[in-house]
Amino acid sequence: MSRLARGSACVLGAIVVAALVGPVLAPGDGVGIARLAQARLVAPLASDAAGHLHLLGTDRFGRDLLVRMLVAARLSLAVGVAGSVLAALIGLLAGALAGWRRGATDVVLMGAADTLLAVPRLVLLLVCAALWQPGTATVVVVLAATGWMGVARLVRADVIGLANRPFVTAAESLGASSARVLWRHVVPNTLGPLLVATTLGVGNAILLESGLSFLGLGVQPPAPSWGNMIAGGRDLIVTAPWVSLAPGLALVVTVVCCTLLGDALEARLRGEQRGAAQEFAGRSV
Amino acid sequence: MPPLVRKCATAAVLVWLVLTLTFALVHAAPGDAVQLLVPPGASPAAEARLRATFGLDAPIGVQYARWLGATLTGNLGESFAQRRPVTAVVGDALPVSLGLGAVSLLLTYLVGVALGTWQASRRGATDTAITIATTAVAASPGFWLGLAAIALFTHGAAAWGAPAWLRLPAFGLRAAGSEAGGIGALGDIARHAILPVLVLSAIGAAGVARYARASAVALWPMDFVRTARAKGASPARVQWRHLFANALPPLVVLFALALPGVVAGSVFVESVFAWPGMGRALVQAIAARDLPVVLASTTMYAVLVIGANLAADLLLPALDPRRRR
Repeated sequence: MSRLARGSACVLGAIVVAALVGPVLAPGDGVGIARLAQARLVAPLASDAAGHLHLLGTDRFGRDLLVRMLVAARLSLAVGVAGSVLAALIGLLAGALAGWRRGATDVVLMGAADTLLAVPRLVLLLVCAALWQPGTATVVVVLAATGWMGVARLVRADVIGLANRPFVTAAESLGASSARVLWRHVVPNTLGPLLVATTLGVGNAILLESGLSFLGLGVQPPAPSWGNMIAGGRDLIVTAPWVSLAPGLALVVTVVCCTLLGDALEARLRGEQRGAAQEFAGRSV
Repeated sequence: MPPLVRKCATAAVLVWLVLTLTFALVHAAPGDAVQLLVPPGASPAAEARLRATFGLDAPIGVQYARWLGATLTGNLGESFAQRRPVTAVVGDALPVSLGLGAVSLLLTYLVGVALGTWQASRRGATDTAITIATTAVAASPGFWLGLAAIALFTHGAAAWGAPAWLRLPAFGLRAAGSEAGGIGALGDIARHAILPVLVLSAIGAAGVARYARASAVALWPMDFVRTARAKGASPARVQWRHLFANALPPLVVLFALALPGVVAGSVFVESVFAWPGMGRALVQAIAARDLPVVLASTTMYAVLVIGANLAADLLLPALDPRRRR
């Protein structure tokens, strides 16, 4: 794996550890308003009236931004991972069934995928998130419901390609049931691309969650997420820019790491496939 | 069936499916516009009357047939919240978004393709640095970049004593109280457009550059590149005449795929920079449960995406001889 990918994996790991451990060690919970008067809008690297140092400054309610960002990281990461994994599972199920059963199942499932793909995902997200009660659970469900189509197409194409391979015929002639052949023999061969799509999907889901939260349709305050923290500093952008810019930076770093890691996984997978093909070609000569 | 007819028919079916989906979504959701419009304490009879005015009391099948028929004949109904025809709401907002989108898309492509192809021809530290930079910009939420741009070009520019022309206006389409017409108005709008266009096209260009780099890198080791070099073609000729010609077809497909991104991005950019475009209209309509506007704008976005895909599908054979069969 390239140095870039290894670096990304390390940074992601550090962010996850910080999100898990940070809020436990930090003073305050990042939500409650305790010291409004002394600590309101302290600039980064400055100390408040009581002499407490704030590495990233404080927001308008005197809450330390670093602590808030660590608490928000839990929610943003959880929503991103949950939304993306759920989407991948739905896509796996739909794609495998469509590619294996073909016929009417295929037409219906892929018709649904094409219909959903025809609307920009953000518009779909906005409509769904707004029409139902906005909140963390809604965001996860909506992310899954609007994110499965790409995975489904990928898995479907793989399953169709694998269906004629000798090992499938072998399993069938040994008397394995259709379901067993599909889930035990065919689907495991599609998991590589699925892993890539899910890794890239996590970054995308975190980004979309922040967008919904920014518009007030995602994670609801006082619970902090990176998106609603950016939104919270929106009207302070001229007087106290750090309130918005700091959480955005955390978000960008996370999404960049997910993307670079996904790219590297994909390159590796493609290389492996090419290697396997060459091996295969070499053997047949 | 000739492919042209088949593709158009598929697109038409897709539009119908999207229309049905949006209708189903909106009606499956709890609550409706009437609940937001009636004053608290209104009698149930008044609420029922209001519901009847909007045709919301009819059976769902009848509402669907009525709405589909009206939509297909170009009658998008009346906005619940603004009490004027939806066509007027869309007609005001659409040109703003289209202008913003068209300029950004053009810049996105010019800058993105040039950067990506150039980057692919150098390896090592330059390549890595540009990869990180483009990945970061492509990963930045539009609203966050927009806020950063506002902080930099309004407050920052003033604080650091930047020349007046660098202090860019950040909000709205025109300066407050500006009465200028003709060229003056155009200049005013252009100045207000700099920041939104910059943000929107920076994000798009970063994505396109990543894609262009990947396709160019995949082409470099190809035999035809070596042949072109071996026969003595100059590096520029190899890059543009041979490599670029092969990288172009997937980029055209990407153009169609990038359109929804620009459209969606404009939702945030319009929201941050207070531009009266479709994105802002949609966000406001959603907040007000203004169903006709929500349905109309979703439909319009879908038609735009489906149309762009269709155009790319039809254009591809013209660019790629291998697809002419």
